[in-house]
Amino acid sequence: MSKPNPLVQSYLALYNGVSCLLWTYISFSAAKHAYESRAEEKFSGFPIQIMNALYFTQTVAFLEPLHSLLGLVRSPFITSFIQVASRLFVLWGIIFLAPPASMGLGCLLLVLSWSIVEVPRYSFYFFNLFTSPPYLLTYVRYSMFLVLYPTGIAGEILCILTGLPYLAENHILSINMPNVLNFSFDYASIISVAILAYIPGSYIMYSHMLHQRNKVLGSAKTKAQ
Amino acid sequence: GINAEYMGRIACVGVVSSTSTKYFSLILTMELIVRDRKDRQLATLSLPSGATVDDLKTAFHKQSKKHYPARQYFTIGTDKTRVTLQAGKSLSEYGLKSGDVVVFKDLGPQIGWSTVFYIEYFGPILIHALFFFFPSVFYPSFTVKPYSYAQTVAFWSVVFHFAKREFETAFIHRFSLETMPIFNIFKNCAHYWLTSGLLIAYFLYHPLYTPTLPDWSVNMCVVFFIICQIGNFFSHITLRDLRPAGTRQRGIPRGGMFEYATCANYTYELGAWFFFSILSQTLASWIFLATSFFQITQWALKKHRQLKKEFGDKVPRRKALIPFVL
Repeated sequence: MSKPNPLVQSYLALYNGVSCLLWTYISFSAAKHAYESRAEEKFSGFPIQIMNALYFTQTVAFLEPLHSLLGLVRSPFITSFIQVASRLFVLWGIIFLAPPASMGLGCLLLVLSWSIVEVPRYSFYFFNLFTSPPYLLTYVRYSMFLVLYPTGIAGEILCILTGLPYLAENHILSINMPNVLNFSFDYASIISVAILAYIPGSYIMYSHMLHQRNKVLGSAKTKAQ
Repeated sequence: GINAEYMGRIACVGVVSSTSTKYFSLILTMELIVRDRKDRQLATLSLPSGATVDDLKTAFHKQSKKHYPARQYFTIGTDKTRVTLQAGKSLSEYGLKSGDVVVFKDLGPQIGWSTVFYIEYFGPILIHALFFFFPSVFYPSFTVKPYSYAQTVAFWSVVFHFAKREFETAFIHRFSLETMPIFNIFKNCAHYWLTSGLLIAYFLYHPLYTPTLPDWSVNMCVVFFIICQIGNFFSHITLRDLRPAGTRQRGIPRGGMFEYATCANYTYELGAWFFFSILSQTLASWIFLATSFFQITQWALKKHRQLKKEFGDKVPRRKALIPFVL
């Protein structure tokens, strides 16, 4: 990646720039709505415009592991994949299929955590395409995850647990025997086991970011000095 | 010129030769320095210069009781120039002489290849038999009813398939490696016991299983299944005959399906499971076929590549796994 291809640069600038703007919109409007709902005993969910923006922006992020795979960016494929896959699973596999999951503390935490952490991340990527990002941005990008990853993960797990009873009762994405495939599949049961993946998953993601933080902030500090 | 040390070493060799007819007394012994990958010295070994890699391992084992020969992995050189010291070869083939360094790596506790095969193939037989003969235990909330023709045929097909594999492990296969790391057994057993065992058995013998294929279709599938089993068996015989007993030689398999695919044994294996999936009428069998296909393809492509690398143009123009396709 010594000679950046201008076409790739323009594409990545567009992708990161637009994502940054979208996440900025989501984080600001979500924070505003959260503040306005502070009196609610149980959070009643975000308005449809914010949710639609969330679905769109997060879904488009499927491109990111692809960028890693194609060598357009330096981030490792596996961490990019885990990140996007888990988010898309929570979004489409839980919130979309189980309306109760879009309400309550879980959804509140996860929308705020995801959107707030993404703003400095995409700004950082955008800057990085052209120049060395300002130290303050680098610091923020590699520090916010320290709080926002745990809150995001907690939100995701809570959200899944909130949606599980609905998925179980309504046999969402489940098939029973007898059928021509002689197969049965209970989505809710499988999720209640698969949720254990958060244990190794969170460890991998958090330690990867910590490692990145030490590496980048260590050298960025010497550069700024 | 001649010096005392030289005379002393001839004397040593004389002693060694008198106890082993392998070595010719003309040549000196060599001292090899054993280091680990972090460059720490582990031992110095004195070996006759006609010694083999196996002798090196025996000698090292004497110094380090914990590291039995199967666990030892020796190389020379570093990183890009690293060369494995292969069993059966003599040390002089690698240009090793007195004072040279060999690098040791511990492969960890090992388990025999045959041992793993015996265990992993027995699981599905046991699991299918338990489900088939004791359905009320595994489906307590359902009324058990007599099995359909397809279920009975499928059961005996699975038993036959894995019994055949046990037989081949005992009498046919000649393995390249004696052992594998012990923790591989969990990965290998999981694949067979959970997918071809539990996953298929649970749905195949379920009281709510409903077959739709007529008996004649099931019979057709069994015929093709058996043809594939026979093809697979004779492929194993061909492969065995390429390798003289006690050696690790590789040859180019020819004849029959081998004219169209390097790994004809795998071709027939996939064929067998394909016809089994049709006759068993369970999605679970197709899932097992898919996972097997994924793994087998990787093995076949690797095997095909290795063969071409070793034998070049002598390998006939053919595909690795699926004739004309892959």
